[in-house]
Amino acid sequence: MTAAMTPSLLQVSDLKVRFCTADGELQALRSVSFDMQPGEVLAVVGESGSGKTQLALALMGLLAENGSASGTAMFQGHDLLSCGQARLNRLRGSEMAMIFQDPESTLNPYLNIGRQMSEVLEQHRRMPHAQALQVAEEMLHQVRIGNPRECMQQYPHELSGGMQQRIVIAMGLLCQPALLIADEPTTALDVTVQADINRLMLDLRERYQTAIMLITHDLGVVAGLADRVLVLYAGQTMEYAAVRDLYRQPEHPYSRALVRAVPQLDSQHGAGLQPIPGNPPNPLQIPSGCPFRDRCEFAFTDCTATPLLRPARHGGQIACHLETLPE
Amino acid sequence: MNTASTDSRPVVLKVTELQCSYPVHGGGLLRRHEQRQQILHGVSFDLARAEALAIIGESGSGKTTLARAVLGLLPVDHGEVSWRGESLLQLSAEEMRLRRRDMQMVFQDPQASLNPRMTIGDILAEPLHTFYPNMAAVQVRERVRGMLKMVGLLPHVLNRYAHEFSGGQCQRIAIARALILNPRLLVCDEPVSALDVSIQAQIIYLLKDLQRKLQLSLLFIGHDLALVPYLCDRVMVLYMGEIMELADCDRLYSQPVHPYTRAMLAAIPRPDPDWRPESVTTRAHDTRSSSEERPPGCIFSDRCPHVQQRCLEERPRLRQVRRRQVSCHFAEALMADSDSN
Repeated sequence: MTAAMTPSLLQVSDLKVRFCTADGELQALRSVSFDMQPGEVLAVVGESGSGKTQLALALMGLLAENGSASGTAMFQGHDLLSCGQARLNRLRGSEMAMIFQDPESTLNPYLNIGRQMSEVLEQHRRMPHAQALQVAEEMLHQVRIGNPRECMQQYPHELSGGMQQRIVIAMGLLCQPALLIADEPTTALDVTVQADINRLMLDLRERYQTAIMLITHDLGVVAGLADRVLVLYAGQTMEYAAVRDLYRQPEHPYSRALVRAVPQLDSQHGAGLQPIPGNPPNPLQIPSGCPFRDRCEFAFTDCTATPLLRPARHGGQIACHLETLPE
Repeated sequence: MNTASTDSRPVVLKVTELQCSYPVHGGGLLRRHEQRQQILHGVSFDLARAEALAIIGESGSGKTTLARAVLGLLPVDHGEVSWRGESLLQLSAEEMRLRRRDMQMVFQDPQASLNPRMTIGDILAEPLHTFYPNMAAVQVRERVRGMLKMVGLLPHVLNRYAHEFSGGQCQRIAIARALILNPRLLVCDEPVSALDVSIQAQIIYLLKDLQRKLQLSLLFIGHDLALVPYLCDRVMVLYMGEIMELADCDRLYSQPVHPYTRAMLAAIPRPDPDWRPESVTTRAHDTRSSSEERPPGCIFSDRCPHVQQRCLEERPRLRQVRRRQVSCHFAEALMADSDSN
């Protein structure tokens, strides 16, 4: 197969992730399919245990030792799930990069910022040290760090969380990867900094045409950022839609509940805050049928059978037995 | 300065001009001598019986330090904390320990705050064993079961362990543990920050319900303003150890005055595809301010969109402006501005 036949940057089909645990087999992802175009921002949304982080780790080849992935994930002509460690090592860092929730644990506490950034370029681009330092400094400027030169000399503990996350993003973008996977990049940060980092990611997408996979539990954060949204629950796709459709006319009860769970200040106190009752299922004991049915206000007899993913009216996909979502 | 809320409930907690600092090492390897970094720069407020006050600030604002100082978990450099008319700072360790029955805390990370080797039943009974060693086993069991029911959990959880529960359930357990001694003050340090958005509202409603039912005074510490109006009566906005604005929720949300309060509100993400966050930070220097000197003027001046020359030279005092407290030289002008809009 040639890359030219598929315009997608990333095409994931029937991705399954399993873990062998002492308590039995855990299915973290149960057949998830989606694709990403170059420069697209895809939000992967779900509660804890939905499998959203395992999805990212599977693509990066970073699953824990007791985990295994099946299916295909075609990226630039290579299947990430079967291409082997050597190929993955070449792709990671240069063509795809990942940033994690906690910037402090991502950065090496013993190296100054300049050293850990230049290392990326020396490793992946075989760039001479002096030039690598220059490029790194320029990238710090791009992520709006006030004094890049001074910052290069500093160690992670000397920097605030917002600064650290900017540096992690700068590091992820150093080799201008085609795909950046960001797992809850702003969850650990203050709201004002979160707003800043989100704007920054949009600007960088414009500038470098980097596709971004944004993983989060908070639909409030991704509304202004994403092009499309993939809603996961208990390792399954609930809804897959363009961002506008998902917020304006969600067709799955779970998506709508997630949108309504975001606190809104403009509405009257009390009316704007709607929790989803109950808790996400334990991944080891996912009930048969629709996994959301225990918490769904519209559950009916059909829901004991697993709903298949089908085309939705808005052009995306949903997995729900309801013909139309009642008000 | 009178900071009591508008109604006539009696004040239970009174904090006056509180200053706290932490030791930091500075001056390089050879000139290592202890310096202290001041975290709280004179914070004063009152809390009435059955009142819920939110303390909101970014990381480094001193919000957690304030909570810990109130509970006597940190030494205080200067100022006063009084609880129901009694100064807490003069008490011996043992006296303080006994007072703490009245004041309990709920932490941010519910899983980390529960002992993984104890059953939920033992976790909930432990405070009772500690403070009431002679309480009959039947009574303990009854109290524990009653508490579980109150936080919306079923009795079968008693013999299970924390790791068997989701984050939201663990936070319910942590709240039950905090309330088992019948405290009068509950301090919640970011109780929902580690939870999924979908679950946060459950816990907020539970806290509101319990606070009303048990007539609890509540300090709710958070890093954003989104959830505050659903739970609290008043809100204090803290920035780098100083109060920027303190007001009733209704007043603060309908008309925020301090530019920092406005920035905090503007940054809350909205579930609207057409909404773009306003950039409010863009600080030239975003380094942790441990070694930096505080500017002589307003502490927020380097981020403030309305900054004037006076803001750089003269520190604004927290003062009463139309039934709220604001620390800004131009509070009246900013209010008039938003009045006319």
